[in-house]
Amino acid sequence: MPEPQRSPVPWENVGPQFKKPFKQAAILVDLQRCTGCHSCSVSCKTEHEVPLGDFRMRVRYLERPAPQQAQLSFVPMLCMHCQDAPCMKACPTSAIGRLDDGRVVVEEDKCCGNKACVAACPYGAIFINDDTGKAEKCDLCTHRTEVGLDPACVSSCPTEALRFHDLADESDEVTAMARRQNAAAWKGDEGTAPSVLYIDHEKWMEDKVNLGVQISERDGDPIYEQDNFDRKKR
Amino acid sequence: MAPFGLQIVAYLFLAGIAAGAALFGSLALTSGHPAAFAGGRRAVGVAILAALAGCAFLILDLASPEDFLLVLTNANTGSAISWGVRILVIFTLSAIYVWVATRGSGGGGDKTAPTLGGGDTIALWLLRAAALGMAIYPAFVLRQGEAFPLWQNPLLVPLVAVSAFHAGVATVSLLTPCPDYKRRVRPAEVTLGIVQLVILVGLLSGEGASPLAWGAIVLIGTLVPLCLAVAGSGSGAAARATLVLLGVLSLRYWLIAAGQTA
Repeated sequence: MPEPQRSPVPWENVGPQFKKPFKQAAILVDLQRCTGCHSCSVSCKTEHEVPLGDFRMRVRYLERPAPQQAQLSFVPMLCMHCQDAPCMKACPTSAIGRLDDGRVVVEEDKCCGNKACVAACPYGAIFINDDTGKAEKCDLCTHRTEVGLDPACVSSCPTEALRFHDLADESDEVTAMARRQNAAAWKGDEGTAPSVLYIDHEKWMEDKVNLGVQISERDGDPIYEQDNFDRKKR
Repeated sequence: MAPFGLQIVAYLFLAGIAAGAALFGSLALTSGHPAAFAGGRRAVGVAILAALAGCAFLILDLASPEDFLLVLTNANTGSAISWGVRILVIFTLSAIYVWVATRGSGGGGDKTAPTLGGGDTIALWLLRAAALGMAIYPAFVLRQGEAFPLWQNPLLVPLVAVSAFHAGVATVSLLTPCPDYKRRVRPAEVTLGIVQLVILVGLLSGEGASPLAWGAIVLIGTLVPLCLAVAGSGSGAAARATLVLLGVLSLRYWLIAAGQTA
């Protein structure tokens, strides 16, 4: 079947005929390029109407360890679409499944909202939508990618810090770039084989990522963004 | 986000009581003594009530009975919860069968305990197997919470099981006092208390638990009732059993609360 004629204008290349069949849908995150602008998390919330206080994708601000503590690193966090996903194993109703292109998705009709997936995910990428009582997480914008568009976060990133690609396709230029730049998995030692990889990933980030940036201090103890967020939710 | 709340604490506590009471009761039913037979039947009744109450908390946590049915109609062999819900159903049904099948037996000052028929014996063994499963599976549910390091501790499996049996025995002795305490109940209380104490010390010291956890779970909930059981007689059984139940409830709360803040 001949390749459809692609237009230089991205939004004209939309439709099933432009859908590229992936073996392992993935996102490459380049931390050197991320400026922490939150475009990705805002566009994700808009695209999926994510409730207030919940996130399918969020950007963490991390204070670097001494002696560079004046610098911040920005880390977009989302579902890692693990190739050995703990959430899939933990779900009692098999509501979490894998599509042909490797992405991990929640089948809402089968979800009983028992939160086993939330407890199983080492990346904190799943939440229960209070309005529906069902589990929700990033699905790499299935509705967009099946018509040839990139996920909303990738499309909105002003610095191309996020790229949608086929991790199993060695000829894919983004996959080749990930190899060249030694892109690493977040918590790679968990054995979950994430499909989302990070360029410029450093181990110290994993310990601090759940805290967020230090926003205040009380009695000499630092208060982190995430402490504050959790307190508000409670 | 802390996925599990107080309903799950209540469910784990009641499921443990159900498992322990059913195992204790099923052993008493085949002990050959008419008084033990009657006590065993009451213990199975306690197990049924605890399992149903636990089930209600589980449904409350899921928000609707339809969601509970979803778990029953959509299986996932890799999920501990999926196995657990099926074990809960088998447990409850076999306990109800045993309780109904032994109705009217063993009372009225009989000299010998009634013998159970073939079908009843099969149900009794099914109940024992399901009780073991009920006691152990919550630990595997917690182990699947890979986001939380405390739940990956291997001591969790024996501790959850032993504390379940301990709570079951305590509930039965609280609700149905045994006239022959020293011979029938005390050995179980002492053995379970010692094993629970050893595992608790290993787990809590390894995880750096707070003094409050040590006080509530180890001192008040395990050590004091153990000393009372070693030294005492049948009197004071209610106080001893209440302390054991407080300890096991505190343990379940600590596992859920501290587990999710680590």
